[in-house]
Amino acid sequence: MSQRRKGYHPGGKRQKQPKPCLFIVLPPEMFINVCQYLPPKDLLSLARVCKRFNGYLSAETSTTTQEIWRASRTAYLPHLQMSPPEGMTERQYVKLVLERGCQFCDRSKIRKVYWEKEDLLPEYMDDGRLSDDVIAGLTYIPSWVRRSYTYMRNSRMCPSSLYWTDHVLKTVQEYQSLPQHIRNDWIKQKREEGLAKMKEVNQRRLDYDRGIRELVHQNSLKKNERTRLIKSKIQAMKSEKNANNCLKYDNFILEQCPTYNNHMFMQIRQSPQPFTERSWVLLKKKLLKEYEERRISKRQERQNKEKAWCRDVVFQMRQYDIYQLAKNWLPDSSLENTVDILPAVDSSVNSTSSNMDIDVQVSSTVTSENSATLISNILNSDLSQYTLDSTNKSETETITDVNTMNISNTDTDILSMSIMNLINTDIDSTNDVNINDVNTNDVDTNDVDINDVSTNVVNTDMVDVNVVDLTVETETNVEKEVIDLTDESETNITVAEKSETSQDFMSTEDDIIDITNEKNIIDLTNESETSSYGDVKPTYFGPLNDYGLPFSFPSNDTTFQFDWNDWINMEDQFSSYMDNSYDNMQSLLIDKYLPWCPSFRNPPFHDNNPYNLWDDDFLMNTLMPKIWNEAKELHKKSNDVNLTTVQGAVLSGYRENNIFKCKFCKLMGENYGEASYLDVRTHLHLGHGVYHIDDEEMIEVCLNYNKGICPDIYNDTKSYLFSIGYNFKRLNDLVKF
Amino acid sequence: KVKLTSSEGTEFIIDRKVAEKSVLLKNMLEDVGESDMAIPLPNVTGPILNKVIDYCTHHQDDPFVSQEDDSKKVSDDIDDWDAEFCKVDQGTLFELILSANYLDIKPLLDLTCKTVANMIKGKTPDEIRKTFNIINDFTPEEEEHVRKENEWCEER
Repeated sequence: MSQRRKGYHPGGKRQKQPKPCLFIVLPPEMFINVCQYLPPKDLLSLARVCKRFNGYLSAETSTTTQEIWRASRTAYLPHLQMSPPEGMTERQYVKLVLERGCQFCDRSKIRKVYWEKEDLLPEYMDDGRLSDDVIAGLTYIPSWVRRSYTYMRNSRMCPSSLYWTDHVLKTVQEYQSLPQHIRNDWIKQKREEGLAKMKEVNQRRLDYDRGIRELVHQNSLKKNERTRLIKSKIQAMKSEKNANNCLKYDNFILEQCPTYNNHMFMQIRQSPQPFTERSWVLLKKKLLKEYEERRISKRQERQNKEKAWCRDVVFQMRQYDIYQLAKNWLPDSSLENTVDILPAVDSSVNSTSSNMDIDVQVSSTVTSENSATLISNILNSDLSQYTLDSTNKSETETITDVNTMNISNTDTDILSMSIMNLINTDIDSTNDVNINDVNTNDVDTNDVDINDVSTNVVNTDMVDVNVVDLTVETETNVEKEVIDLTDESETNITVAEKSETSQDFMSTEDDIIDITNEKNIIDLTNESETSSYGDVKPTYFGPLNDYGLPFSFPSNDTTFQFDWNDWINMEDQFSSYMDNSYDNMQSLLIDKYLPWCPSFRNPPFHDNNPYNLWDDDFLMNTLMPKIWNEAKELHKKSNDVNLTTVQGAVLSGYRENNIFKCKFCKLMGENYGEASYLDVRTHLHLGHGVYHIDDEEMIEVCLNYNKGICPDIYNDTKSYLFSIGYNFKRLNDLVKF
Repeated sequence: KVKLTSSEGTEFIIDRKVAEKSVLLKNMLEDVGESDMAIPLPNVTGPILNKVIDYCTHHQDDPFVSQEDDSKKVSDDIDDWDAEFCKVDQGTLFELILSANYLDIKPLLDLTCKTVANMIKGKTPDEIRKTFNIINDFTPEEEEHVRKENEWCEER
């Protein structure tokens, strides 16, 4: 290796100092490596380049040389899979089969060519007496060997049988040297020999034919398999979805890629090689490259096209883009948990009182800090006073779980109060465990993290509880009580009771326990003060509301009309939403909330310019999650909306009630009566020529439910979307709904 | 991380994953385990090693290809990156072949050999000589002899 590198500087100033190319000093194994990619024809050229190569390629006894030729032949000459006949080297064999052109007529070139018996022998042999008989005993190359190569030759040169020149010459000489009288016997004997030889040759031919047939069959099987595999791979790629349930590749673009069409529809020639992972990686790369090119150019095309449109249209187009995406988009399930927990807690905080603006993070850290101190206290108490056996411990755990839930979960104060109350009042009867069980069901689903953080916090409670027998009756009692307590009228009483509770605890419990418990209660009252005193807004079915049960009785409106259709629908959606199915949230988003999401109404354009298309990543990972959460928020608050706004009225299911009025008409003093949402919108569009309806600005709600209902009538998606608040009027001819 | 030293002593620090594209280094690392000691590669020069590392880094996630399978006989399934990678002067190309062989990086060896094969394909002996700057060391007689042996491959 070192000698090879002599005088060579990599990075090469090759032109400056001409030196022998590295190619010729390449070690033989590398040379072979190169040769395996060359068809026989090029090998023959290579052999003529220099002595060294010629040596490599014409060493007739070297198995390596034979192997090079053999490999090249089997790889590149599919018709020539059979090994050469005895006495012929691979190279000669290949040459024989590949030979082409009229070499029979060019005398100077005859060295080791093949004679064609009938036509040519007389021409070159001045001895006219030479007959078929003379050479009958010779082995010859039957015409079938070159059958497949006849296309290379003109029809005139399609040979029958060929003989080696040397052999013919020798035979003729031998024949001529024989005395006349034994010539016939000689011919006879030679013929027999020849027959035997040719029998073998013919046998070989049959084998060859059979082999070829087999091979063709096998290959076609392999090819079909390969085609099938590629198709299925591409098909799978086509339906591949990203984490947000959207197709990873735009099928429309994908179907325009030449590679896609070639493999899916065209009968392109497939190699019989098995379709390996690596081949797929390469094919996919190619396809993706085409895809990306087309995607970019399509995007560019779109941007250019939209430049000619006015801003309104483009604005709606962007909204339409979001709408299209929202049809499939789902939150990334891997992020689902983290996304889900926070809003759940958040909303429950909000649902109790709209004034209370406690940040979830803050409240949870407060409690966890709290619990930390509690834990330390308890540890002390444990060590000094209570030694618990293992069964007790397990029990305490479940109990404390619940208790901490009440502490940390700042949701319905009524709930937590009631529990405190129960703990307090039932201490004598000691039935806490059941109470807690009842509550765990509610609470656990809401919040897991915080729960974990503060387990073991209130060990003190356990002390009482452990002694307790569990009875079923108390459970029912407790349930009743919870419901009772949630009632508005009793709120005050509950609070009162609660303060008693703390006092009771103080007096009855052991010192250390008292301290911890007191802390709990103080903590609770602190939080509940803001909510329950600040803005007394009773929530019926308190606990249920935490799950966003999507109906509510307007608290101060007695002429409330209940829309049963809505109710039935919602019931459905409610139950499946509980199953954690996103499908319904998705359809709710599309059919209800999307038009009202702030990020949809005023999408965050790049540079505030709607002409700028969003990139997919932004849509998928920033805008859609935001809209999704906004929709969820709307959904959670759906029992707590301001009915005097258009948004509130529509989202609460009064779309078809005749409670909407056109503000323009009112302003101009014209008389336009109350109508359904759709009617007013249609009126705005047709009567005032408004293409983009700003609902709150243009529509007024008068909460008079006696005007009746005007059911929406729509006959296509476009008008349906219009009826639920989408503004796509500008896009009439531009998109297909 | 693995440290390598080229023939002139230049040090290269690469990811183990990248290094393991080379069967030689892979075996070495398995035998010796990871250490701070640089692995000397006296047969590979710095610029070439740089190229080799480029290749290995780009292909580090490719599935491992065993010796037998895959369409190794086809020399036109080179993807764009690889084709670009092989646009180097011939000296570098052959150095790459030798390094790939020495380091036992089969896909790189295949790639470079394919590239050379593609340079040969369809050329007459004389064109091949010109391409690779090979001196014709046949005497006229010998050449005639060889020429006759290979009569048919002379294009007419």
